[in-house]
Amino acid sequence: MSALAETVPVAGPPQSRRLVMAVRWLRSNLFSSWWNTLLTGLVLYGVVAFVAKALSWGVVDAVPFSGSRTECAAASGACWAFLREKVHLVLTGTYPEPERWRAYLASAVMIAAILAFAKAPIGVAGRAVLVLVSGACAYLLLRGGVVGLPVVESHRWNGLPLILFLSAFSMAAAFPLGVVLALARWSGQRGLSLFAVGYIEAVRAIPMVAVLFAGIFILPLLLSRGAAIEPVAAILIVLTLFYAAYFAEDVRAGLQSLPKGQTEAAASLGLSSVQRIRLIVLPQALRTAIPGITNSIIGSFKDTSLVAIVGMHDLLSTARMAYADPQWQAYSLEANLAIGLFYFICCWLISERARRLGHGAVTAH
Amino acid sequence: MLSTQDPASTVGTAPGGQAFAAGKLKPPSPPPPSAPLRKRLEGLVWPLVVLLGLFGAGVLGARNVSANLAAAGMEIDFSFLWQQAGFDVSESLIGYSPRDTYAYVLLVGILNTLAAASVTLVLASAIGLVVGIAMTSSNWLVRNLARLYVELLRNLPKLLIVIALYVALVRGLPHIKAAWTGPFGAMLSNRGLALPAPVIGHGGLALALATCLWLAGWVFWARAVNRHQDATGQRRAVALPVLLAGFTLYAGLALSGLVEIGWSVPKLTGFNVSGGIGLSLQFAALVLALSVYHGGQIGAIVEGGILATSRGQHEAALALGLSRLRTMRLIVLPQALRIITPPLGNQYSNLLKNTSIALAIGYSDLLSVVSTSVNQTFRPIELMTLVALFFLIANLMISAGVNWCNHVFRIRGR
Repeated sequence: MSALAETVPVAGPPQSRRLVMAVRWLRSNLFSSWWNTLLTGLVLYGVVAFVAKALSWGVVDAVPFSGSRTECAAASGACWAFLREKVHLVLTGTYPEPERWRAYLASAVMIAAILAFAKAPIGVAGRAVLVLVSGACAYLLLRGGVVGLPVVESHRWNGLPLILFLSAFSMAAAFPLGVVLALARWSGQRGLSLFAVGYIEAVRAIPMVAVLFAGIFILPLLLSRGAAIEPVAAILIVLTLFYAAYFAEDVRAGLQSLPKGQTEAAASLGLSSVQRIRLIVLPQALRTAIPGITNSIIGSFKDTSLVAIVGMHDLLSTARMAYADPQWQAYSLEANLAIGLFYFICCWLISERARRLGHGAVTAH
Repeated sequence: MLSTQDPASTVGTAPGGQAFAAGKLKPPSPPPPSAPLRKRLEGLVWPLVVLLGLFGAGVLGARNVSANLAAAGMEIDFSFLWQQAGFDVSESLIGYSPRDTYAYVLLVGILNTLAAASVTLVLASAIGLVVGIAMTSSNWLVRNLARLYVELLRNLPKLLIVIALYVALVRGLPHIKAAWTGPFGAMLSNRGLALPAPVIGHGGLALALATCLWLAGWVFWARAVNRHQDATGQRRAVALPVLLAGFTLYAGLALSGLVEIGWSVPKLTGFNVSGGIGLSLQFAALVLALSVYHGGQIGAIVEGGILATSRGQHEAALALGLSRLRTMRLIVLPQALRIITPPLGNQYSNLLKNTSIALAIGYSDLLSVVSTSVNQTFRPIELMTLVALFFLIANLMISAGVNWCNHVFRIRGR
């Protein structure tokens, strides 16, 4: 009888069963001991207080996108109208107003190219062509000087097109360079591997800001006399050289995890060294290296924002321009939240994509 | 036809495998005796070409640099370091005036960088430890909140965090005249945080000696407790007696009049704060932002280390009757430390490098001092070489420290 009595609640009506399950879950996950109960209470209090405050600031007391300056001054919450008012400034900075469509078009071209790069089944050669073509398109659109488009100096390429241009093309160039560096380090040729180790370790030891400074100050000195280099190009070059060292480390991890038997088997099959690397070594090493490479891509994308320090107007600095306007000075938080949301979504998309590319095991750090 | 069924023939269909498939049909012949040498030479050609190319590029670059510098009437020369810098820095740990030399101002920058990095290191490690443990908590709410924190911080640029925090502090904090005051005369305003500081009246030597003695006693007691635990399985308290002893020691020193400690309280004089310890807003924003940023990263590392510790260890400790806190401190964390150390070293090196974003908010770290110096002297090569040298040495020291920790925490086999 007792056994029957015990099974009744479990086999009872679904409603009560769900309730029992819910209570059991709550008890084991939130209130398992006095310490956990206390912790739950404290954290819950903090979360509720924060969410309530955030909601009243961001929604209840806020002025929506359609609002006006005077409404914002009267409201106690967020002023989303500020973002609508300044959207062009934040996205394109000081790009000349009548030519703004070019900045947007160039951004669209680059975003399309990035999506195609990540998704289209076009192989390595196709991707190389895609990078070159989209790079040329974006450059010509931004710069002008062809088919009757007026020239826009590169220091006026601000905001979204600038970070897309710098991050996409520096990474596209840095990745193959990093693979070559990693292979050089792995190759066993003493001179090459010594050079690769020296390069990788030196670059990784130096902060990116210092590298950017070197690009601005030292790179022009390296050119032959009379030749000039635009800051955007200089930054693109140093970013490439910088990211390459990080990619090389990721690829090295993949190479190290490759069993020696793989290359030996390939050698015994009579494959040449180039074939061995192209067909046997790299496909396996790169697949293993995907989590590390993803981390580096996310890190590089985030760190591209550091170009603001050497005077390039990326999104952070155009947002700063927007809230430097005396009329809208109080709304820095809104601008920074918007930029944060942009970066969060982009990085999240990259890691999602990588998770699907790899074998579902992208570790989180 | 048999060969098409041969598994090896699938290799033949792959590009580059043709030669092998064709070669397989021929009777085996001994390889020509010159092949190994030829192969070795072939293997040398490409590395040689690459290295020669790099060498050529290096020579070309060096020639261009010297030509460019000559055209500007300069050459590489470090003697400018002894000239008067002539610019002011926002804050400095050692006395500095614009009449000091460039070498001295670089030292100021290095000390500022190290100060920010060391405070950040401690704060970020503490945050990371708490977050990492929280991520493995059995409490659903705590665990997921910690995950949210890590995930959020992982996907935001550090520069954004620094700038947003700095702007929020500057705009949100009251003017110095209306500064928020805390206990013991602490003041927080948009000029920065002023904290009361102890000032040693006399007996500094006695105080230092007592502190050394106390720390030595702490280490001694901790070792004795461990030995006792190894022998008997009983664990005695460590932290409480040590703190008590420290308290009585210092109280005794103060009461006996051997040491006199004054208290410097910040005071508003005109438009500035005098007395106490002043932390500038730039310093506070930089340290807070980097601590929060690296705290998230360290949290993920700590979580990985804890998860990698075998679950049986944890359960066995609980079964032995150790409390959760002791299980964490005595069983799980020491083992996790072994796994945590190498990535933690990486994080610390990143943390040191990331202090250079101080430039964005005007804290006078090494790079911001160097940037001003480059603009004034136009000595980019010399100055950037010094910066690179500093960071190379600092990173080498960090990795030496990590290696030492690795050695200390290694599994000692029987």
